[in-house]
Order: sequence, then structure tokens, then C-alpha cells
Amino acid sequence: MTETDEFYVERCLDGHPDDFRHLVRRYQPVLLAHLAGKLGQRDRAEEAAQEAFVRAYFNMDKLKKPGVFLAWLLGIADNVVKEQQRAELIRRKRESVRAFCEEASQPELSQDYALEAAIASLPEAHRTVILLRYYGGLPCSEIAKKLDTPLGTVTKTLSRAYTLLRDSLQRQTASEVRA
Amino acid sequence: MNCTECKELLVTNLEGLLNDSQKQAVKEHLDTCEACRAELRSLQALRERLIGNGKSLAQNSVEDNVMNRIIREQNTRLKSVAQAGAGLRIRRLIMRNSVVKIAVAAAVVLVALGAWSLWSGTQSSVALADVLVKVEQIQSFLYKMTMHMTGRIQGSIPLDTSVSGSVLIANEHGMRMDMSTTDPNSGVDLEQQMYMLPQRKLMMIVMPKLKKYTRVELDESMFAKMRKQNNDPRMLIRQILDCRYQELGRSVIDGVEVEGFQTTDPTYAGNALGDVDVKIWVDVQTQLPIRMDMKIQVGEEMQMEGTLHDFQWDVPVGVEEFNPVLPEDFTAGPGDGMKIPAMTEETGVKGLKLYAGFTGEYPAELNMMTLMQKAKDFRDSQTPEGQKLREAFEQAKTTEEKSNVLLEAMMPVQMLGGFYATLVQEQKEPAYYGKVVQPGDVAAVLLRWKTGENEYRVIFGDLHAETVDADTLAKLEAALPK
Repeated sequence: MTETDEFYVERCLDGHPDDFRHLVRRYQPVLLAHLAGKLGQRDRAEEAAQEAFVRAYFNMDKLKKPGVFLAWLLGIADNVVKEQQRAELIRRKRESVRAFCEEASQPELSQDYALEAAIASLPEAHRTVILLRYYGGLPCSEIAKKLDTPLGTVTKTLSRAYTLLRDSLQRQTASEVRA
Repeated sequence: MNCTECKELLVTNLEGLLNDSQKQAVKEHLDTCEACRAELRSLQALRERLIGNGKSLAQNSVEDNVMNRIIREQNTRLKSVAQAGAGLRIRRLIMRNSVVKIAVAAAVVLVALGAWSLWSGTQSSVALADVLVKVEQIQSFLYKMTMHMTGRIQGSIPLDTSVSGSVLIANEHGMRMDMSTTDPNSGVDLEQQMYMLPQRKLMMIVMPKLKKYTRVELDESMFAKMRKQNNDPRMLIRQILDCRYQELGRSVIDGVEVEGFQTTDPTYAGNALGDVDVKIWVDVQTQLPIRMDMKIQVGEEMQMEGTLHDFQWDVPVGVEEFNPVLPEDFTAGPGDGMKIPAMTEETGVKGLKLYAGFTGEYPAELNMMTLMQKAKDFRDSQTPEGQKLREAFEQAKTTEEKSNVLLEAMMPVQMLGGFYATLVQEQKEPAYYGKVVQPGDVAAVLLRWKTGENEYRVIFGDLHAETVDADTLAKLEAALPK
């Protein structure tokens, strides 16, 4: 698992579809965290992650710079989220009448939905560092390399992300208490 | 250090990225400040929560589901050609992957050359001497070719490629193949002309639709051999007479009475291909071939079935047919400018050394197509050589440069296959023991061939070479591990 993203992308394009597995393994937690925060339910996040990976695979030849695989993957995931939300909206409208009569079943929340939602609400730069560090398992030095920024900037962004996350989590708790 | 300064460093501290003096300063401040200690505890708790959540998401089984879906969808996409963009990915694969393209082209050329040698060497009640006389008089000929290749590339990508075209051979000028290639699965639709131009020592491939060309310089000795073979079919006949073949008797094709012959001898085309089954039909009246049917296993993964037909003899040939013109907007494609060295002992040893460097062992067999398949995976090699190749590959900017890096790396291994095929063709009694000989073994015979009466050339496991007599060779070979 020490090869670069670019290496595996090229491998897939050269007809080794099974090497896509390495990219899935590498970015599955990042993608799930990214999606869970936006979608809230674990099974829907999983579904969207699968869809995003599959779409990424079949569109790999459109990826111009294999080095930016993750950013590109997250972009695809965002599109999947939008589509799912749109479909969900239509479904709800259709079912709104029925919903009056039935008790809606409680969807299974992600294990730490509060945290994932807080991550989803971070500004992009901060979110990226948090995702890569704790969900992609990269040390700060690797993140600096990947984002092509100085290490100092990464640690500063990370510090700031902690503060923002904590604030966001506190706000959530506060609103739950009020509710 | 005050509280603001300290708080700024706490996350970096948790990440273990502070230097010793910073660490010391933070520690000293924390020892005296409860507020900052509380801050640290809170950050630490958040950090653990992040790590824990990350771990729990990593245990998810998205991976298998994704891979299963990809395989399923790939198969349905391949089946329904009508679906827009179905073969997009694989088209790119085949277009980009010059190695596959060259493998296909090489296979076609080998067959074309093999066809040339087989028909000239047919012995039967259709009097061999008469065929010989005919052949000697013929200065040029033309035939049509239809081929269908099936199988898999790299074990997973299905191949369903049709090649049709014509081949023109003129003693004075060389050979020209006009081919069009289609593959309904991948949407490949390729036109290309291939030239072998002995006078310019050049092999050239032109792809008009893509506006690309590739020029490869071949060693003089290769063309010298080609010229000799083209000009003196008796050489080939002597060679072919050692190919086992059987007579198929008389039959009628397109209203013409013919006599058929068949060979399944693997030494046909110098062992460069796998199993072969080639039938040739000779016109009883003119005693010239009118059709060839072939079924050939190419390497481990590709099968080729095809027919050569519509032979025309002594067709008028214009010089311009062998003088490809490259319009200004055509650009160099993969492999352009490469030189193919002579297939000598030196290139053979170089290929063995390179292969062992990448894989830690010698190839199990020296079949050209299998070697090419294996050489494609050099990029995955975990050896320093593999690392170097990957670096060169990543540094190359364009697709063309990337292909050239791979082609250059594979060249000596292909030449090794070519060298062995030459030894087989020239009946030099080659034998190869790569399955049992380890790199570095000073005493074990790795490859040998006959160089003269009671004289053999031997390449040993450590790649030094010696010339020995038959007795010595027998002893050396008896000592080989089973």
C-alpha cells in the first residue's frame, strides 16, 4: 500500500482492474466520513460511497491528473449526494400523505454522526486536512506533500480545524439540550 | 510562554511535531496553568474520537461490494455494445497500451512471415521442384488477409479483434501491410500501414486516422536475412522440410482443384508462437498456393484464427507504394525512433540479465510472446530495477514518453526471445534450462546452441559464456538439476 495514487490509477488504466481495490481501501474511511456527515445515515453513506467508487472507476480515463485522485473522488461523491438528496426529496413528497398515517422508522444513524456532521460543516481546507489525517491515516508531513503546502500550514490548519470542530460539536449539544 | 502561545501549539504537540525546545516550553507552561491543561484534555478527547471514528469506518466492507459491482458492471457494459460509452475505458486501454498494440502487430507480422516461409516449403505430389521454379521467377506478390483474435489481455480484458487487409511483398522493395483493425467490444477502429523497408533499414507504421507514425530502425543483419530469404526460397524450403507436415489430399476451393498440406509443428515460426495448426492449399494447375487457413495460440492468452487468400503473383509494383509519405501534421507515436539491435549472443545475454534483475529468476521459457507478456509486469517488480523503472515512468510526461520508457525497458527481453527464435529457425539445436537454473549459478548450463561440428556455445547461470565440445556439453547437461 505504499504506491502513489497515480501508480494505481495507471495500473487500472493499463487493464489491472483489481488494483482499484488499493484505492478503495485507502480512501474508504475518508469517503465514508465525508459522506456520512452530509447524509447522516450510515447505510446511505455506504451506498453513496460505493456508487462514487464505481463511477470513479468507470470514468478514470477522464481524470486528467492522477495525482489529484482524492479531490476528484470527493467531487464525484458530492454529485452522488446531490442526486440522492434530490431523489429523496421527490420520494418524500410522494409519500408525504402516507407519512401522516405511518410512524416513520428511525433511520440508523452513523456511529458518530455528530462528529461527521461537524466535519461536513468545516470549510473545505480544514475538512481536507482532518479527513486525510484521521480517515486517510496520513501523517502531517505526507499531507503537506500531497497538498503541496508547507508543514507549518498543515499544522496550523489542523489546530484551527480542532477549534472549529469543538465549537460545532458544542453547538450541536447545546441545541439538543434545548430541544 | 503565555496561554495563547501555548494553545496554538497544543494540537501540533499531540501530533508529536514540536521540536525539543518547544516541547519543553509547552510542558513548563502546562505545569503551571490549569486552563491550558483542560484545553489539552479536551483536544485529546476530540483527537481520540476522530481516530476511533476513522478506525470504525475503515472496518466497513465497502471494498468487496465496490469490486464486485465493478466486475459485474464491466461485464454488462462489454456485452451491450449499444450502450453509449460502453467500451470507453478499454478503448483507451488498447489505444494507450502500445505494448498490446505492438504485440498484436508483431503476431500478425510473424504470421505473415511464417506464411511466406511455409508455402515456399511445401513438398508433395504437386512437384516441389516445379513450385520452386515458380517461386524463383516471382518478383512480387500480393495476398489478402483476414484474422480474428480472441482471448484475454492480462487475464481480464476480453479481446475480440478483427484484422483485415492486404500484404504486398516485392523482392526489390520489401514488404507492405495495409491493415484495418476493429474490435466491437472496445470500439477500436484503427487503420494502419506497416512497412518493412530493407533499403532504408526501417520498419515503419503509419496510422492515418490518428495522424501518428512510428519508425523503428532495424539492424542490418535482420534485413540481410530477410533479403536472403526473399531472394532464395530454397533456404526456406530446406528449413521447412524439417517441419513435420501431412498431406490432406485433393479438394476443390472456389472451383479450383487444390491439394492440401497441414502442419502442427511448433517450430513453425521459430517457436515464437504457441500451438499452431496451419493448412495450405495449392492450385494443382498453376502449382501456386491459393489459400492458407491458420489457427494459432499466441502466448498464453491470445488465440488467432485467420485466412490468407486471393494470392496474386507478379503484381506490378510502383516505387511509391514503398515510399510512405508523412503529412506535416502527423506526429511521432509510441516507440518512434527506437533501434532494434541485432539478435546476437550479446543481446540474448543482456535480455537474460535484465529479466533476472527484475524478477530474481530466469524466464521459464523463451517464447517471444510469453516474454513480452511477462515484461509488461516489470513495472510491478519490487526490486531496485522495478523502482527505477517506476520512477522513470512517473517522470515521463506524455503518454508517448511513458510508453517509450516501458518499451525501452522491455526491448532486451524481446530481443532475447528473437535471438532464441533465430536459433530455432537456423536449426542450431538450441536448448534452454531457465526452469531449473538459478541466476548466479557458475556451473549450470542455462542456454546452449550449436556453433560448429562438435562445438557448442554455452551460457551459464552466471551469464558467462564458453565454447565446449559435445562430450563436455553432455556432462554439463547431465549435471543439471531435474
